[in-house]
Amino acid sequence: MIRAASLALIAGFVAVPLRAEVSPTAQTAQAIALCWNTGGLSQAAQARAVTVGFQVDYENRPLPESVMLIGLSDPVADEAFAAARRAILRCSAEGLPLSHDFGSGPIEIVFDPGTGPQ
Amino acid sequence: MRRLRHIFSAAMVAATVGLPLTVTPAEARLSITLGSPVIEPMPFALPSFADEGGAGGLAADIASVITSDLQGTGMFERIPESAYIQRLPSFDAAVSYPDWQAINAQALITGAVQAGGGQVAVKFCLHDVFANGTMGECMQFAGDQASWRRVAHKVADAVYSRITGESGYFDSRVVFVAESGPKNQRQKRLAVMDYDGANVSYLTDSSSIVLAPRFSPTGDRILFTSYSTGFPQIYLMDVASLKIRGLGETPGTMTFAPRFSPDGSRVVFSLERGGNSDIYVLDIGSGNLTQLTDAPSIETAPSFSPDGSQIVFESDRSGGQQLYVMSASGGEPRRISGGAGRYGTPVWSPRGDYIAFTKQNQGRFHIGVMLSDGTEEKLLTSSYLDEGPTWAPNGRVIMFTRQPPGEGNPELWTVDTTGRVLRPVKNGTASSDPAWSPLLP
Repeated sequence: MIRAASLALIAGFVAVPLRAEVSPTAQTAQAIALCWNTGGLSQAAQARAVTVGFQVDYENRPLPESVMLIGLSDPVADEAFAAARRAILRCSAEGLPLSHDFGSGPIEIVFDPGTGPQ
Repeated sequence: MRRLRHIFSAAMVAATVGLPLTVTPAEARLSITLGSPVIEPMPFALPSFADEGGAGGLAADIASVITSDLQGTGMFERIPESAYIQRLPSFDAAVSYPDWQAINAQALITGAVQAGGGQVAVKFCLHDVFANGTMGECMQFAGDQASWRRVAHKVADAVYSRITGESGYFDSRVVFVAESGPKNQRQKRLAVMDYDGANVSYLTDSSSIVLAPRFSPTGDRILFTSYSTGFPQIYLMDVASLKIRGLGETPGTMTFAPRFSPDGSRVVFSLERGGNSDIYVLDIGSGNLTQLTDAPSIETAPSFSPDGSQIVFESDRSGGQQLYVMSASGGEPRRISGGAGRYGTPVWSPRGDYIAFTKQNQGRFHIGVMLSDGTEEKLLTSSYLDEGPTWAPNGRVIMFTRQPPGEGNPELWTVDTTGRVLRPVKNGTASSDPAWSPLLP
């Protein structure tokens, strides 16, 4: 602690803690989770889990027309899906941190309010 | 009707044969599960409504009421107009969705107002900005210009309903007791207002004390208790004509705490005879009176379940004031409240799930809700004196009376069923005992 502070003072920089490397999957999850807002939904929709699939372009930006609900549609699921779609489109405009290692298939995200912090 | 909207072949097969929906790793490039959504107001944009003739300041007034309705729920937050990138010169102007996405507007409400000849018409579109299209058809509401606030509430109800999937509650009214004068010589009148406190008007004069007004399920009649004869007696008022008549008048008795049955044909209330109060039901058409409880304790504040099959009420039969549920035809009640303190004024939610109540415990008053079997009790408020809950037509918001300590006047407040959105209703008068109407036609 003292050493880090001293180094920071000497070098004129602020010491920052080292962090474990975050995987592209976790970065993608974190990015989209920040935009997943269910505050405008009905209470039923706030509790509904939905699975959403989408494709990305060559810059890993989701293609808006490809974002679709996987599974049966009903009014509550549609509402939950709308919030999930907004989360995907809002928080990935700069492209998701995906690697080609993941292949070229669709991306699938389960938005499940009942599963707690990820 | 359930629709099948879907794409990916594996999931489609799974859905159609009723199997769990899974996509194999070979098909999905990446599969992620998220579990903690943000719960905060949804940002929306509402540019000034276009004036299509004669609207003048009315266009801004209507937009202001719509904004107030939506923001008042705590579920939506309007993005300031200064942040808007696109200017929409007319109602028919093409919407540039990227401009609204850029300011993080998740919904966009565009509209236009036309007024003249004593009429006002408002047309509007609700846009899902990130879906690049409208949510449902664009609509128009029209009415008397004097009722422009109602037209605005109708628009807000439609927006709320389309986004949340639940019915709204903005185009509704509240009947309450308006109070004036010193506390030891209080004058109480029946009054009615818009749900948001606007347009207060008085239904009775202050010649006698009135209590506990209740709207009929269709909003055309009001039950209340009056001391006009010197002791409490229930009355029925026709809202259109303001004509009043007594109900269930029986010599030597006092009647109070009335509520309509869900079909509006009967009234359940308390009748006191010889110092003992029990619950009765009166058929308004025939005048037939049926006793539902027969106990030496005080039974009062009855409220029907929305399907009309059960009644919740308060009773001190166990020594303290608690909540009980019984069949609407009477019979042995079961106690549903079990926590410390005293419970009273139960009201069944129009959805049928929750019962709202007043709780007094350790010198504090609370408005709370519990499921109809008494489980999942949740206290939504806490103050010196909160009491008398009434449900919004959609069962998501509760209005109640808050009395501050000392010489302060009672006020009406609302709280949502999460307890997060608590706010006063500004109606400009000392107020108590609210009762929410159904949504207006």
